[in-house]
Amino acid sequence: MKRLLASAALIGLFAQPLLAQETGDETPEEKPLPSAHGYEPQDDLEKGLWYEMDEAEKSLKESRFLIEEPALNAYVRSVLCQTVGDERCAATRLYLLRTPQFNASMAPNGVVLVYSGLLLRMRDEAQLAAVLGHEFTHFEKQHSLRIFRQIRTKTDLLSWRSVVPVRLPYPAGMATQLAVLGSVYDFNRDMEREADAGSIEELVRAGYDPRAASAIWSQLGAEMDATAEERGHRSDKNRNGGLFATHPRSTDRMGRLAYLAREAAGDGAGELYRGAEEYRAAIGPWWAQLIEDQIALKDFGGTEYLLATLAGDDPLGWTGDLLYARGELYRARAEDGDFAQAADFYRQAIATGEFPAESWRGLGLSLMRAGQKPEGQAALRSYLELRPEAPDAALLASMAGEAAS
Amino acid sequence: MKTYLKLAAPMALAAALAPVPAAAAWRLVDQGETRKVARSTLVVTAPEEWNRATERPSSRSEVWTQDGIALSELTFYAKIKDGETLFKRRQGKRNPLPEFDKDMLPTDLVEWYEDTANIVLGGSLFEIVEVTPATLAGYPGVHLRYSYTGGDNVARLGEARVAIIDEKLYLISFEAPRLHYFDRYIAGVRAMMDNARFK
Repeated sequence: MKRLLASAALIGLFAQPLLAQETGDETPEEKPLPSAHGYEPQDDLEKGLWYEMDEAEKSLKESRFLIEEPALNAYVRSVLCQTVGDERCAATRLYLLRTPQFNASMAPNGVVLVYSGLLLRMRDEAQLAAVLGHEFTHFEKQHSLRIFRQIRTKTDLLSWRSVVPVRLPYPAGMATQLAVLGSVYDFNRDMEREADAGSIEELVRAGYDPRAASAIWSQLGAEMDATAEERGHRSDKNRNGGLFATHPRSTDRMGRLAYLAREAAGDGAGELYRGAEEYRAAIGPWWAQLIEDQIALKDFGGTEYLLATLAGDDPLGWTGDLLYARGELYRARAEDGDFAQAADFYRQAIATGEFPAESWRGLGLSLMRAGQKPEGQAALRSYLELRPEAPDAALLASMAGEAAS
Repeated sequence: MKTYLKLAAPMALAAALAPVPAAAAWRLVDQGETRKVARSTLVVTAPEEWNRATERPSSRSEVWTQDGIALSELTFYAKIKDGETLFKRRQGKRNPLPEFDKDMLPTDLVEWYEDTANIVLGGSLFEIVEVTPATLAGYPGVHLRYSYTGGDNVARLGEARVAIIDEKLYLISFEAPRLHYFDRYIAGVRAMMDNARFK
């Protein structure tokens, strides 16, 4: 129980919006940076924080939510190292977590957590680099440690224990220790500015297009609006929930990022590296899984927006994969007219010539629900020809065969 | 603290949203006993002894166990109507559970169950292993096998038999840790799924 309380306190700690003014500059130049080789915690307080984080990391290593596939890990790590340089990169340990939220974080002991939901939403390597550069700046400037110190100087320890922690959208499946690591560091505005500026610097130094950064925030804000509109609740974009939601998302900030990017990029911005193809190639083998996780969230508004974003708001951007995903989304919602709409998307997916075989399955099931049983059964048979080993093949065969006899 | 309690990870699926109250008493189900389940006319015959909870997770369900629900959880659901969810709704607007629809195809039932599990478990580690046509109390339905890892990081296996009967959903599910417990009980559970009938 004691440990439980301690963890809860820690979650609350990072979650609490801190309005306290910063007391001068706590990071004099001569202090070693946490990204330096062989860096050790400097005092008892920092040691305590590290201890807690190291314990959490041990559980993380055991987590079944970890994506351990070497190729994907190597790719994300290579983007991180490209962004911050190999030397500073050596201070970090990267973990990919399979969880559909848009999130990433970096703990004071060098643990970088990247959620698969973030990978789904990035359009190119430069955007991923922007997020990683942003988190790395928080880490290198020791922002969470500074928050920890500020809180510890307050007299009433219970005051931060009792604060209402942030709402993590779907935290339940994550072990509580992971929640400590992945909990939201609610940095103050100055820290965010510092991290924004830091990410632009890293992007430029690494040769990425720094304009990638500002688009991320507008994409996410719009997705939250879309989710809220569909579900009829207030948008989360200004709530204290989720890493990106806690960040001030004012037009002022996006404008500032865009300005910094223009300044930094200079005239040669046209040739800067975005790495869209490289990114798609690296994420490709995982894409179907990631979008399936997203559709399973039953967030119709947010997912619809996300798919349109991935298509680049361009009719030609709707690939077979995206059309299939859109069909799945409509079929899953199952409201009036959705099955006919879904069938249409599956047909469009099939018409592209490069589509997931499951498009036939979706088409068949949609048609059957829409009252077109024979056509639906024919589509199911097409699917079974392509995927005779599908996990639900026996069931589909019985459904497809009923009218055939 | 309130939010922290929500973080406390669900272990078994049904226990996650509709925990058996702490005060629940357990009653023995004798070997060979035939009894009605989940306040319906569906009856099963237990091939071995089980313990049933006297408190129900919801008015349409009933839980049995051998070693405690974290280690073996057998749940009966009966008469779930069009528009209802498998578990009681929590955080309705922000985290809605999918509703049962009387027009669902057998495959839809599987997806509906999977979606419910994904939302309840808060993650994406629920995997359908195999889906086969089956009957429940003589009505056509589905038998599904699945695996998942809950917030306690324990790998579990599960099986469920489900059918729509007279526009209402009937479902029997069993979940237990992959290590030892699942294999220990699954044969008896399948026998009950097979011998379920209406009285």
